[in-house]
Amino acid sequence: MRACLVVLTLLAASAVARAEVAAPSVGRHTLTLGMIGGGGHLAGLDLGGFGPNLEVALGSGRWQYFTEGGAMIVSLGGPGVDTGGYQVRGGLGARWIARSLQFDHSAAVEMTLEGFTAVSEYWWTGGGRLLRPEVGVGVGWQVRFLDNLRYATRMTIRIAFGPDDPQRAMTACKGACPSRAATGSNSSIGVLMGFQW
Amino acid sequence: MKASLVTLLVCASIGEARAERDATNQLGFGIAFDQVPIAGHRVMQMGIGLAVEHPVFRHWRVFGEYEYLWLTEATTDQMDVALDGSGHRSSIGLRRQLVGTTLGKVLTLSIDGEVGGGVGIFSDNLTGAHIMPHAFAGLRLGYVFRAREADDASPPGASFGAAFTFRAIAVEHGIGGMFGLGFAWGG
Repeated sequence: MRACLVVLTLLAASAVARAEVAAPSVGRHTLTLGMIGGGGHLAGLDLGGFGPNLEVALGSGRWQYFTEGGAMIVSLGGPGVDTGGYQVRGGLGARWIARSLQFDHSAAVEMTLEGFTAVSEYWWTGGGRLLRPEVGVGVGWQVRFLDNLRYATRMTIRIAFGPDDPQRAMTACKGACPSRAATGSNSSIGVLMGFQW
Repeated sequence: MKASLVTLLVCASIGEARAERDATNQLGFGIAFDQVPIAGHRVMQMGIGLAVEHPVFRHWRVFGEYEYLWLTEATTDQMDVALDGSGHRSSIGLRRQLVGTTLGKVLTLSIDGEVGGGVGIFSDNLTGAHIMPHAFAGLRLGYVFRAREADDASPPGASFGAAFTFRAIAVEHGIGGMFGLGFAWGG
């Protein structure tokens, strides 16, 4: 296990060091409109949803510092539970262009890595609310058009971690939550697709 | 499993690699779906991970992967307690191009063979926590775009590629299978 981790770390360090190649700077001010969808667990129940997402970013070199906000229609299901509601979410994060391959000075296919923190508020259709913070990381790829560095289309896969408090989450299922509320995972996956200009 | 490993190694050693990759490091990411037996459960795993590669010999590349995994198990009874968990898995392996062709010096299509192993740490609500080593053998079908030599926009050897991966995974409780899609940048 330790040898495996050491080898993996050395390989990663080597690859990242080699990745320090000339990549075109990102636009200084960018706006990204997209859709985000995802799923995970809340108190052991299956949580999923999708909705629009808006991002405003400041760029410097290969970095972008962004704030984002969005809304989702969500569903919460499991044995004996089928409910849903709405979610609004706001967050902050930073994105790094890890790799960039340019074609004829006109476009670049790039790999992005990002980290973020956010807060979501849920309104359940049957009544009740839940405030839930999260932190996460993401990896993605984008095609950026170099005639105007702000134009890009991007897809990011995110992993987010949030507290899993079955007692608070029971506001969603009105105390009729199944016994599996003792959960095994408090992470969720999100897929974000957007257009940046 | 042993037979498939031997077959893959033999194929790799006699395979005529028509178009070798540039001797550059690669960094990429991917998403994978697999099913492996854990403590009597057919556990389905979905993973998102990072991967790095480095050329070590003329025809061989060593790669390392890290994946974050979600664990589930299909149940037919709504009243069943469903398996629910997460985990981490790291792997190292060797990869060799078995068949490949390069078109116009910028696009390489290839089928690679790979073998390797690693260890995972998993935790779920039914079987508890496990530290589980694994070994794998598989095939990778993909393409690589390279920057043209005359194109000064990217450094020499810069590339972008995508590949489908199919693996047999051997773990303590049996053998499972994996399917994945990955993207990698070289340069």
